[in-house]
Amino acid sequence: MSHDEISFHLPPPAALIPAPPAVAAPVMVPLTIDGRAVEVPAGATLIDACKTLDIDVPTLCYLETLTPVNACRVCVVEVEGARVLAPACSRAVEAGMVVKTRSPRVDLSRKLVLELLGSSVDLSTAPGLSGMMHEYGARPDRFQEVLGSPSSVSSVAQPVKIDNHLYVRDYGKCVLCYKCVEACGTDAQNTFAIAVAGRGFAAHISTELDVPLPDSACVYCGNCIAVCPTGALMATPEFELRQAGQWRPETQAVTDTICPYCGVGCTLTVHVQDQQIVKVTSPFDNAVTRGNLCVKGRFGFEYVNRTQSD
Amino acid sequence: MNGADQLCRDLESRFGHAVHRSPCLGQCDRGSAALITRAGSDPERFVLAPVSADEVAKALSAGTVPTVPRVGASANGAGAKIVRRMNVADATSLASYRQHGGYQALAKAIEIGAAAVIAEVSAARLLGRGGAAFPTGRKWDAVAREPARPHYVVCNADESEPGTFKDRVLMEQDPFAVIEAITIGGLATGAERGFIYIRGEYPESERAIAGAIQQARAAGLLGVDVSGTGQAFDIEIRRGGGAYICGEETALFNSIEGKRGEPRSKPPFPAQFGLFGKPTVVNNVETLVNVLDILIDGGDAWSKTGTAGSAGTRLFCLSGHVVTPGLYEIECGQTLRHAIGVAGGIPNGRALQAVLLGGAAGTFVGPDALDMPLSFEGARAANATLGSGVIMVFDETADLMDTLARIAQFFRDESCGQCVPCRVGTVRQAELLQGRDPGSGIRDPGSGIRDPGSAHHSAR
Amino acid sequence: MGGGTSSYQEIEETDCILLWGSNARETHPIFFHHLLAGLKRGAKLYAIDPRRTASAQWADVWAGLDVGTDIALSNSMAREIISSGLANHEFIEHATTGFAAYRELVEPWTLERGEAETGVPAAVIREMAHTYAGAKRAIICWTLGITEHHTAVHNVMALINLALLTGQVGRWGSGLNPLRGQNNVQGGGDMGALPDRLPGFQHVENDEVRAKFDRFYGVPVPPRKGWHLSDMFNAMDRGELRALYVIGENPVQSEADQHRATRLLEGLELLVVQDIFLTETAQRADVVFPAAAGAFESDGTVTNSERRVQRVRKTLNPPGEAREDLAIICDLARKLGHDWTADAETVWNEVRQLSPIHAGMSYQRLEKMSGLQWPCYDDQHPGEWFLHGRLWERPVRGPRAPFSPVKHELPLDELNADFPLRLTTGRRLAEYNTGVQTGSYASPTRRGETIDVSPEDARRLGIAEGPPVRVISRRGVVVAPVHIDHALRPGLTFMTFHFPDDVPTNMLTSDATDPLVGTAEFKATAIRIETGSGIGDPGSGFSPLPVGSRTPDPGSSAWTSTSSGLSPRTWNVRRSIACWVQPRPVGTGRLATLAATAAPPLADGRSPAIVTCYCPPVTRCRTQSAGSATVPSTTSARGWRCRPRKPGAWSRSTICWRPSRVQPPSPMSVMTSRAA
Ligand SMILES: Cc1cc2nc3c(=O)[nH]c(=O)nc-3n(C[C@H](O)[C@H](O)[C@H](O)COP(=O)(O)O)c2cc1C
Ligand code: SF4
Ligand code: SF4
Ligand code: FES
Repeated sequence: MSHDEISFHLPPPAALIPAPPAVAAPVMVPLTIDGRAVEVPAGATLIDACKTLDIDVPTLCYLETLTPVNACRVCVVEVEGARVLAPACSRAVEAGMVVKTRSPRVDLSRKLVLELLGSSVDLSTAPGLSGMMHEYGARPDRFQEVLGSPSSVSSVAQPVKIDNHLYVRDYGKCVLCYKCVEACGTDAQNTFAIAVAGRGFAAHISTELDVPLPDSACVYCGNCIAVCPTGALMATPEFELRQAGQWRPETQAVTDTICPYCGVGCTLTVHVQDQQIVKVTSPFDNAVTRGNLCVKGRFGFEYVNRTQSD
Repeated sequence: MNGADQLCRDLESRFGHAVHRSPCLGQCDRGSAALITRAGSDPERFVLAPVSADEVAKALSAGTVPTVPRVGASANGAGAKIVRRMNVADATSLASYRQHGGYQALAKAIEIGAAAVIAEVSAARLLGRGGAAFPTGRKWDAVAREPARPHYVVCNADESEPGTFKDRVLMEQDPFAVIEAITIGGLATGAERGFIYIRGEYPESERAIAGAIQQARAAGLLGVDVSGTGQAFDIEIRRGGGAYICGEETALFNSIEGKRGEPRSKPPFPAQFGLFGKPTVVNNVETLVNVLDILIDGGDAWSKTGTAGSAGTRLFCLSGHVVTPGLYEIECGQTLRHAIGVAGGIPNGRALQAVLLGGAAGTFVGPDALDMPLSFEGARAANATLGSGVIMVFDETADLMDTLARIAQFFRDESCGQCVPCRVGTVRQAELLQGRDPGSGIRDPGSGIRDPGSAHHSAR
Repeated sequence: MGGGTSSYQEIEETDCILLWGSNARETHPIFFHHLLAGLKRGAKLYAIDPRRTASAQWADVWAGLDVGTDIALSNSMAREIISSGLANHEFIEHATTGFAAYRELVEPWTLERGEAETGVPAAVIREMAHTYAGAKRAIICWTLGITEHHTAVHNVMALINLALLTGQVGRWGSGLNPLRGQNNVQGGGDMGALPDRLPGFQHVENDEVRAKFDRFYGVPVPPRKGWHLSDMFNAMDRGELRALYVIGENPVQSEADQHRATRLLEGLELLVVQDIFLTETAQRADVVFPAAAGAFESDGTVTNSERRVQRVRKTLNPPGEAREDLAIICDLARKLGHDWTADAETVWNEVRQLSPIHAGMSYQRLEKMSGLQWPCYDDQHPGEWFLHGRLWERPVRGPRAPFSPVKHELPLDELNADFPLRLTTGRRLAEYNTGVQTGSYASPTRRGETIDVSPEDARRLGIAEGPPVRVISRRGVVVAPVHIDHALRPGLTFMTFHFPDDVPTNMLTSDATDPLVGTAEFKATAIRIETGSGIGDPGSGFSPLPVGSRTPDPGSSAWTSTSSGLSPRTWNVRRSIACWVQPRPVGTGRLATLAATAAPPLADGRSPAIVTCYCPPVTRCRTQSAGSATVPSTTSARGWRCRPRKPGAWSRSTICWRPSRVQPPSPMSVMTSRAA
């Protein structure tokens, strides 16, 4: 028997299609959310359960692909019998739970979180937050009204950090959701270039010893940019277009293609404005990438971009 | 309250940048305190209290560690249990500890076995003394039952709640009791390693505990074979780095693991997913020390002291405007009035304005609450909390708004920064409380103060 | 059928990973995410690599073997597995053939001999053998560290043997996975860009298969195997191959032994290059077809390392007159009398009709399921997670899997007193191949080409980080600055080939190739390092040395192979994928037909050769170095070269742009503006 014989005639299709080993059917846990009964697999979170019922829970620091840190607390819901509100993004379901996703207490809490954030952070490039503010009647200005001058309301305003050609860090927009730290760390990239440093209001995202990115461990995969919910981390083309007042997402064509580089086959979601690639992301639900890319996939598109003169 | 601001100013003018203002150093019984670190290849750290700028200068130039003046703890007569060895036995000697009844509880524990130990603790209805008042027996039982290995025992000696100093006194005056209790916890719950996480500002406590561990090891009371049982158990010391939040049990785990000291979300609880992700018992120092008497007296007998809902005695840290600030062991159920009386009452015949119960994270009560029983249920009925046993007394001359502002600053400075209501909310609260005229009320904050408070309360 | 046998998901659920000759952390970063998830779950990782790479730093154990001793290591592991009773005899008897010969071959490979030959401590070989054989699930992954050797195929077979010996293949979480270096290496093979295959790995010499293609296209497909890349260069040398059509490939810079490659390409009668940049190769072409960039400017599909066929979509209009490859080819076809639709989906549906393993992959399904893994036989078929499950069926479906006893051979470029150091080459994270794509984005981690040496060698040679030295092999000399790398062991040096304009590393490398598939021995060059004054000054040091040793004759014993046939697609596609080239042209699918129809004799009566490369045409020539805004004058001055170099050689042709007709839409404007 030689290799040739194998390759000469392809074997016929399998009778049984190869597949992952069967796993035991998950135990289903019954609970009630906003008066509606639902069953979800054990280990699911309240937000998973809400999704099956199409109940919308606002989130900021939550992402399917990351371990919940429950830092922002906009997702809180009321669990009957519990002393405190529960973060829906991380609280695991328990049998018989009775959950309210909206109640005066929940709404007040969400409103407050939004006001606290809005009064301390520049949320101008955070998609969806203004809608949330409106929905919960949040008025971030009211602290200023009470305290008199804007300067007496502490904020995290600071100059934009521009220390490399690929992306900028504008921590005046950072809500400290920890997503970038997780994406850079154990949840995806495992490079550990950034972490939270300082405490309290001075807590901030930092490279080791706060050195500029090029002196840090950063490998410029940009997976942090992909998860940042506020635009604090932004690829340079988008940043520059915004600065010039030319960022027009509504005119952008967004197309999925496959990365031109290595054989992993990452899906690139390419954002094109005026025949220029202005941003590359990857879908979080993609089995190959889970939203992550490497530096080549995310930034290596310049060779097809051109300038006005083309 | 006792001239700390003046002290800081004096020190700053003398030593400049080498001086850092620090939050509560846990010396509230003694007034203004300083933690002194002498840098070098063999750094030394010690605490002076009460202290003046002159004394600091003297201590620094003398080049020797001054003996710290001890304002000792004293208890009222009603069955002094926890404090009975203090100022009686030699805290640095295992032999002396044994002479005063030490290590009998461990012998008993070994004799009756792990399951019976847990049964006794449960029967005693011992509640946690670290602030959350969780039944200790239930905690131990849950960990003992967890199949995942290894198990850990952690003694929470991070005592950072302003106004609290009971654990420091316990560790300094009766360190062997702490070690013995941790050992019993380890044997009962199937752990082979224990950690004691000592607040960094407590160098004396650390020295006392380290000495006690060393002697216990030498005597075969810790190590690969504890007292001939064939079971291994040993204790490691971890020193805190000056963060209030690291007293929170899950933040404490992170800190021991070498991570940033931030609380984890619960559930999962420590009994399932604790230190290094393994089932872990975490108890306050005082909670653990109570276990010794529970084993010697028997759980049922022990639970006869105190009230139905709060068995046993408690250590209360009396400070502020009382004649003799200090640590007092008081049976649960006695009134607040009684406690203040034990400490000599309010000096100079002034009237009581308020009492801060349970530390900065606790509650203010007014003179109308003087007859409140000092028990968990009593405090709850008055919408207050006993927390870590702080009773801080303010007479009519005190500026409560100033105290409130300082508490707000404390929380602002001690927030780890993880979640929004705490990180930003504490800043807004402090801002709203700052810069107001002395004696005036809070500037109309609308719901500016209460809202962040409620969001915060709702969050954790 | 050739392809990675497992899915990425499986590496997250396996128990033991042998990462062999692969620095996936840098070269396949997102695959490494999956691998890391596996480590997090508790899998053991063994990194087998001469260098202590970024990947090896994640490993439980790093087995730092000497370059080119992979077969020795594998055989030694095999002997240990057999002698400690860990071989899966049930599987061997049930599903394999040739075990006796294999056992005999590996018998002398004691741990001690393994250690002596490979430099890996016996205890490490033992541990790897035991862990791999004992694991419930185990996966072997490899990249060019295995295949860029003159023993490429044998190296791969040595790994396959280990899997057969232990039954670590054909099950969930157990498999053999070559990590593909480019986004469509796998797809190129799938589509028949192999000398002996038609689309779907159907053998070109199989009459039944060919008949199907003949019927479909209405022209006979030539019944013989084609040449692989190295064959082609040898044929050029012999004067048998005189015209070449290169699509998306830059052999002038990517071939081993650049001097020879350049000479041969320049000696062709006709060189047609279809590319997105005016590459070094394109600059030597008679005709250049400006092409659209594969991933961004055209439609189609590519196949990744887990056999997942995924859609590539057009996101940009190509610049100037650049057009999609398909449009260019169809135009070519039209001139030759075939009226084909230049539409990617239509072509794909042709593939589906002809290749059974792709039959179920309609564009609609590919869209909906974010790609499908072949084989996918019909519209209901979900695609297959892993291959070779058939070996576990009772009875085995199809033929049983043969052991291939393979012998250890040292690299051909021998070390001696004159060339005492081993140079191995590879990639870095932020760079890609010859830099034509990556050169234009401003990577903050780019530090240019260096010759990386171990601290020990640096001390011995008295060289320091920074100043340039002369690197000399039997074939050439380059000048490169020194970088001291603690990941290297004494005697081992490292370079990339990312900056050929600055340091043409492939001047050094050996063009010794694997006679089976033609991959060159990029990973093992013998060099010496010389220091001295004036090195690095303009004009210094680039005089090629007289050629010392040459590739041995294909007839010599060095080439004797023990097996023939199965080519597990181990070639290095960076240099070109599979090429169909013969005097009687043959192609795959449409191209086969095209060639068959075209085949008009050239002026001198010989046939033109058609070389196709299914590698995505993405190899644009780098027009700038990072950050510089100027275009090298050579490029801008020349512009597209669309003139017949030898008048008459292609004179009958009407399909290429003649200088007179082609007023290229100032293609240079494309180039310059890109550079700006
Ligand atoms: C912010 C915060 C700070 C805490 N600080 C301490 C402390 O300093 N000492 C302590 O024993 N418990 C502290 N706790 C309580 C611990 O989390 C935990 O409940 C206690 O160690 C359990 O021990 P026990 O059951 O013996 O009370 C703190 C809790 C919180 C939320
Ligand atoms: S930079 Fe962005 S992702 Fe990172 S913590 Fe701030 S808001 Fe979150
Ligand atoms: S993004 Fe990186 S890992 Fe993914 S295919 Fe592209 S080069 Fe490969
Ligand atoms: S989304 Fe749940 S806490 Fe932020």
